Amino acid sequence: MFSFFALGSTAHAFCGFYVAGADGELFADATQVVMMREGTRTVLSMRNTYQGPTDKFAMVVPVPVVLQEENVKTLSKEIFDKVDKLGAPRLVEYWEHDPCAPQVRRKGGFGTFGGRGVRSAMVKETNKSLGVKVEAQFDVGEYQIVILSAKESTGLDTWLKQEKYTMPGGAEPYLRPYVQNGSKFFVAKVDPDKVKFKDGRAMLSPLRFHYESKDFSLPVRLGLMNSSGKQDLIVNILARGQRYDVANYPNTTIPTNINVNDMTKKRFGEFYASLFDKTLKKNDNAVVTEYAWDAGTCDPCPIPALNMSELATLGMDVLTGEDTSGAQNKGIRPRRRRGWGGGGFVLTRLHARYDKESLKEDLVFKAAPPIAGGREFLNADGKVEKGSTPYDVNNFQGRYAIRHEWEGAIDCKEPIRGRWGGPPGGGSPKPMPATETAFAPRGKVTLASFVTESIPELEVASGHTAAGVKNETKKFGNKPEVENPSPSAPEKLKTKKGCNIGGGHMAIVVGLWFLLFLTFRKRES
Amino acid sequence: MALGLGAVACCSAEHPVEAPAVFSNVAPRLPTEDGPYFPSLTQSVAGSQLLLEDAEACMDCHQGVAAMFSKSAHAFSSFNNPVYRTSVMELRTWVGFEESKHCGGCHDPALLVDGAMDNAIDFADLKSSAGVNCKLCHGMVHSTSEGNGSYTLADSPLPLPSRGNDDSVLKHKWAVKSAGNKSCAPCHRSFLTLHSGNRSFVAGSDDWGTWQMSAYNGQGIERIDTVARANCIDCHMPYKEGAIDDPASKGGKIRGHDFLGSHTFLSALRGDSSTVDGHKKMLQGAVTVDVAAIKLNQQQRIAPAEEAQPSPGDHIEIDVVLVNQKVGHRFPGGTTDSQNTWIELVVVDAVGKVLLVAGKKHAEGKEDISAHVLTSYVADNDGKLVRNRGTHKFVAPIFDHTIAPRDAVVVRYEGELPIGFKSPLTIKAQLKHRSHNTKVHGLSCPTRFDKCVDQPTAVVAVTRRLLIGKIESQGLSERLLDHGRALNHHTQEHLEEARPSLMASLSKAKTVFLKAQSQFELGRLESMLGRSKNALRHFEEAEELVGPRPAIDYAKANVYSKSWQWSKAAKLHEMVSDRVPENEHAFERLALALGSMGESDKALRAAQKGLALNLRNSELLRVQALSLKEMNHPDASKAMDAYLRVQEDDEANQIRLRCAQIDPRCALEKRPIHSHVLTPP
Repeated sequence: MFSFFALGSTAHAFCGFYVAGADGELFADATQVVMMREGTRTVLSMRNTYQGPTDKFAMVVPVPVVLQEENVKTLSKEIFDKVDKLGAPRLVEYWEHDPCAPQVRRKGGFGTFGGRGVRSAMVKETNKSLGVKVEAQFDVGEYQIVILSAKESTGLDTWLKQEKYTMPGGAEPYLRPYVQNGSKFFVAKVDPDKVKFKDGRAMLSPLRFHYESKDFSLPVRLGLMNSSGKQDLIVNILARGQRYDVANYPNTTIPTNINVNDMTKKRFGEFYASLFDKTLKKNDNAVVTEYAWDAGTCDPCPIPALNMSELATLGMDVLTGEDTSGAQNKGIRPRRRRGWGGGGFVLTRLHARYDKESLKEDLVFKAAPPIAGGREFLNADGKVEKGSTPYDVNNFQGRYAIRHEWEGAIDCKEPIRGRWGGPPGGGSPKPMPATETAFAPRGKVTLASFVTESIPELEVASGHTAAGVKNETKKFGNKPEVENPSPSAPEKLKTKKGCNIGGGHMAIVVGLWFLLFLTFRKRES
Repeated sequence: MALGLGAVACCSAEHPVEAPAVFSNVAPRLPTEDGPYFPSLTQSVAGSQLLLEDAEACMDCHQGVAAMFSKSAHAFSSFNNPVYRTSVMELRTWVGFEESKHCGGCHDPALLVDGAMDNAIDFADLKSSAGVNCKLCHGMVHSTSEGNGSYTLADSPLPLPSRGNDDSVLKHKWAVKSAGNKSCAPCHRSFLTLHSGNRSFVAGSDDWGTWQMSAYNGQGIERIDTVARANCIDCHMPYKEGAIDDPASKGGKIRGHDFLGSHTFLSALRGDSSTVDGHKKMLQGAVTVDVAAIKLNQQQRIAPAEEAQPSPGDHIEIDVVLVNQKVGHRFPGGTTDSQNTWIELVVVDAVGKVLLVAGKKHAEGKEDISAHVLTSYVADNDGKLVRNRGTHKFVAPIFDHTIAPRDAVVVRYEGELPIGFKSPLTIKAQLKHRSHNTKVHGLSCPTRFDKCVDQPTAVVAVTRRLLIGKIESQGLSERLLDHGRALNHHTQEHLEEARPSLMASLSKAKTVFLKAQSQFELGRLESMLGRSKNALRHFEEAEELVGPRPAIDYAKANVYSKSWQWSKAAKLHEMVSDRVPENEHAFERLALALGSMGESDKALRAAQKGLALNLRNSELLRVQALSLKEMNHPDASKAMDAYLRVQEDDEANQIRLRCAQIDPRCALEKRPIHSHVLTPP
């Protein structure tokens, strides 16, 4: 859980609660998680932002086992951006080729572009009197990491007091079960001199740690205590040959391969937010799969896929290799997998948006069979595939296309329409990823006004022509379609109480039972 | 040294040994950490003379009993046991005499009480081969379940009866009346600590604790189950005929003092084939083995297995299910790290051609990673598995593949069927047992004995499944239930694998009880998947079928705990602990729920009730310490120190990670369900 505590007045927020000092307020307004899983090993990386007083503060992270120095690392912010962009829904732009140009046949029933994905470049100190044993203490990035084997809240409390941090009063009931159940802790003290604040807000370096556990879950429920608003959560999971979805909420895939109009180019975030909200409205309480694809490939690629070095950074370096080299050499058979690339890792991107009413259980992940969708793959009827379907490898993405139909003369007997590619003048525009969609304006424009074709699964008809002219005709239902305007319109996070998201703050926040994030602002000396 | 005996102690009559916890005050319940023979927890003021003389006197009259006892593992618990001897000598050599005394209370009481373990052992001294003799069980005046020899011996000679003097006979009978089943507890629970030369606390064998919490003791809460009650004596000391002349015989029958269990090697060392056969008979059917399900070419798993019809060239995945049917403690028990019970799997075609095998080389004593072995592994500081009973090196438990009472586990095999075979295929699975793993056996052989004796192999269970594409309906629902229940041990993301078998079991169940069991396991599955409502619904349905059960309430309470509904959880846990007052886990959960609610006083009481059953339960010690701290109790820091001394080593996680990186068996076996390779013979 990412629960932020600070001194003074308490402001409950999206992650259980967080508090601010008497002279200011403190927010944790963005967290992103990348998990790598193999066997019983989980490598968890997280990045979160901090908004509040710029003097020293610290996070206290409960973990299921006592970590050692080599178990905790900081990662670059860029690696998180990369994972985010790679799995994000993407907007592509295609131009229709001359219908009278000779046809170039391609194998596999694909359209102009390959469907399976083009492989990118593969590319101890002891203080017994406190009851707290400090396992290790080291500086890394803006953090001073202190690994504790504290076994009691009073021991932790004593240590924090000695360090001139204060445990906020309201935090105790939330911390108590962790302590009673034997959670271990590490503390990440943040040196504000090493952090860049912009508008009072800082993006902290990602922290990575790993541990062994039979469980593979992300307890977010705790993060919603006292929350009153919507939260977005994006979980990226990397696992060899394995896609994941959730076991305890409905699953759905984002409608994909939808043609959109030119307006979408400037308002892609807004479009995607409306599509996402509509999907959730249709699939109540669902967790939405936005991406499931070999991490070493992509098509189209908004950025290069993950290379081995980046996968190692995200945790492959500490996987045991029980399925790979070491095991094979000793006669252990790796599981049969097909479609591996990039180390065989599949990147699954799951997106949830919830409030405390809709989220009653922690997220539990389960292995899921491969799916495909969102490719420029032509079905037997000559139309581009829609939705998601079972497949032998994971090839699913949220992809939205602006298609510029051929506007030149058509001077042949049997013109062939629907051959799409790059712009007539050459070049290859990069797909645009939809990132930070939680910040996108919501409820101002209908989904129909973006699309140039109906979305049957959402009962949405096109509100525009391909040229982007607004057409308010509704194909489905009689009522004018109005996107839900609340409660997610961006606004500055409410203070004191609530879990309101917005104000330009991305709100991807996770309440992990083993990641109880407590932020303490250093006591005024 | 954890105990090397799989059997239990002696005698028939019951008398109370130690009263359960009473809350006369709030003093912390703390593990014993001193005593005259510490680190053994043995209490006695008498020397070995009594032990030896009394034992000799016993044998004069009770020749029938003595004859049986002389064949037992108890008689060979001392330096006359080459396995123990090697192990304890290593400890004495590399760590120290003082630390080795923690073994003495249960292996060498005669040496221990004379202080002989403080010096070099004289192997010619009879005390060094006295074993766990008559006086230990029949002269025990007090015992606790703390373990590591937590008993007190009488400090006076046993009164001997005189022929014709009824009063003297009565006095004798009264004096030798043992604590019965409870006399097993002090030595069939063990642990390692700083005082035994370990760098941190490591729990050892605990046959007592697992039995005490089991359905055999009427205390089971892990599953809906019905078994006849049975204790250590019922199983390991059943009445035997043929000792008519023994004054202790009743109608020609007498309690078996050969303590049959699984110590085939010790019997074989003496050339005692009849006792070897006795052990083998005891082992037969203790655990059942089934070829439960098959998956072909990564398609849907087929259960039961015989419904599958593999073709040449298919990729085959076989689920073998083991069920601990008859053993009241984990199987195998005792020192699980040295145990050697393994599965041999053979796939043959219709003309008897062997196509694929797994676990065959293990029998030859070779390192065979295709063999699934029911054992536990513990790693040392460097992450290396310690497989030679070098207990002082134990730091981090890696896994435990022994099977809890009445539980089921699945063992998975994978391989490629060859091109060209004659259908139908037959899969034969055998569960075989030897007393010790190859390393322990090899180290122990050339000690006192002039020749190295091969370990006898006992066949615990065998099954054959003919893959004919149709179902054998007999016991089908039970088989499916066992398969589903076994898959409920999977990693969280693969738990859904259990559902098809559990659903099929439910639909095919012919009895209300089986339906309830299926519903219960489905509820557990849902609970582990975080689907509280579904879980509770299944538990309610199970309850409707079989009425209230502690297991059902316990499972419901755990659902509430998971979602932090502590008061609901505590209420149910309290009901459960009232009904199974000898199950420490019931108190553990209750204490954790109450502690999480901030009910320190009630949490303390629950914790202390649990600690009365097991003083080194770290969860209970933690709740006790936290509660006392919140109550500003003057002994709170003592309680916290006690907790810190029994918690897992701080580097255990790191050691487990390291072990998986350096040892392929560690990497493979740490997964609850993993695949072993099937290869051509």
